[in-house]
Amino acid sequence: MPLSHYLKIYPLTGQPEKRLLFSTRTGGLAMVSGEALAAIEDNSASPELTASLAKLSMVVDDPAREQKEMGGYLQKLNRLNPNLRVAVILGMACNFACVYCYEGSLKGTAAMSDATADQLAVFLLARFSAGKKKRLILDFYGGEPLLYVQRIIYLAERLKPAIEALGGIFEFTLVSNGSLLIPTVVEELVALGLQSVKVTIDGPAANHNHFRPFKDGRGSWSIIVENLLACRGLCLITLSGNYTAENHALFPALLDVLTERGFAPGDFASGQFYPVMQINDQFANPEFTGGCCSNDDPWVHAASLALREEIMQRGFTYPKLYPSPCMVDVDDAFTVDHDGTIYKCVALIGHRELACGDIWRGMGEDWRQAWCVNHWKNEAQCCDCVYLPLCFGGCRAMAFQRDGHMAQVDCQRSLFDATLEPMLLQDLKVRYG
Amino acid sequence: MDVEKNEEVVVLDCGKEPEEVAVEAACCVGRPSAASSGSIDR
Ligand code: SF4
Repeated sequence: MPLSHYLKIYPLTGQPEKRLLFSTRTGGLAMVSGEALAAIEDNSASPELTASLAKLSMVVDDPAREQKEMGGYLQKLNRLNPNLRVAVILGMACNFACVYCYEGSLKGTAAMSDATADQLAVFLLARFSAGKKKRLILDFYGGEPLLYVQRIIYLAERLKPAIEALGGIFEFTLVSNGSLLIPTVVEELVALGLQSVKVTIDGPAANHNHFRPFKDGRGSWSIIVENLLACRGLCLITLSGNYTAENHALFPALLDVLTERGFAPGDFASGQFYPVMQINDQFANPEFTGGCCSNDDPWVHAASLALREEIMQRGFTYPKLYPSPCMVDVDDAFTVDHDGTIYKCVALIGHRELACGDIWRGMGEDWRQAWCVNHWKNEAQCCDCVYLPLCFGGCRAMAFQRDGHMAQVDCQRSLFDATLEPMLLQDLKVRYG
Repeated sequence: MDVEKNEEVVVLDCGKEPEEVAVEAACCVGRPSAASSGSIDR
């Protein structure tokens, strides 16, 4: 059997007789000897070896057919998807003034009304039933979602029993700045379906307080850390942080400080730091220019790899690399803004030309065109690309902010070329060591 | 993780077939993206 089109093969330093195999189609990882690989390549491998690698989709009957089938991968995911997953923007108020916030001048007092919340519940239940879904997952955003606790409770109290009466599961997450995350609130929300909270800390106190201060200028670091300590174990907490070219080296120290404060790596469901995306639209803070607008920036490759290693070495969970489609490509995933307008990405709310419909009339007809769904199919480089299952044309928000449109793919080839092998070697050393 | 060892192949991760990927398909909140992709954060 021939090798899969979606197989990357890497040598292993110090073990010249071994090869590392990674399937970009499944995220599967295996080690074989060079001899075994040669046997596969000249079709003389043992049936056992062939069977093992076939089980991992690393060898296939027909790589040309496999490639053709990849063209229908996202449709298949959509057919199989048991979830309805909706990001809900409760309102635009926030008690922070983060310098790089992508919501920029969209922030203010606008918030979801009772009438909109009632219609949102009606809309979600209808869509859940029509799609015969099994799980409704809401991701609450703001502004700061915990400024809208009563609205979260209002929605959850209506949706949880209604979804359960349909035999489904209702759960939700928060993307919060952490300043209002206190045990009584978390406990109340857990009873209503809260699963996890993503909290952002931009490194040690001084850096964080510069980038993520309260609106009145006060630092927010200490309050967030105290809150997280108090809420440990009540629900899953995902640790996040946003770095720039200038400050990424400071971030590992955060992990050490958290440990000194009494946290164990297991207190966090995962830890991941990201380069700040440079926002260039009409809502952006014109004073912030230190973000990243391309995966081709070599500093991003080096910084992301170094931070990944620092996180994993300290025992924090770093999510593994698997195919993970963008919500633009998932039919039953979208964002509902506080006024009931539907978008396909949380980071592009407010761009009326990208509105997909609303919760009164449903999704319109033209959103696929507006969001350039399947744009990668027009690119020969993508149709042939070994990274396609991990990418499918990259990030629409990044392309939009960089190019002013999303008609072209946001190619991640240089990123994967530079980082995939070192990431797998990190995994070998730390995860599987 | 399903770890399987035999003479010729050491399986470290079995990977995910579309059925599993579909169940986990997320918004960017927990997207285990590549090293980068920029942050969808405020
Ligand atoms: S955008 Fe680039 S990395 Fe992504 S599938 Fe296309 S060629 Fe590959």
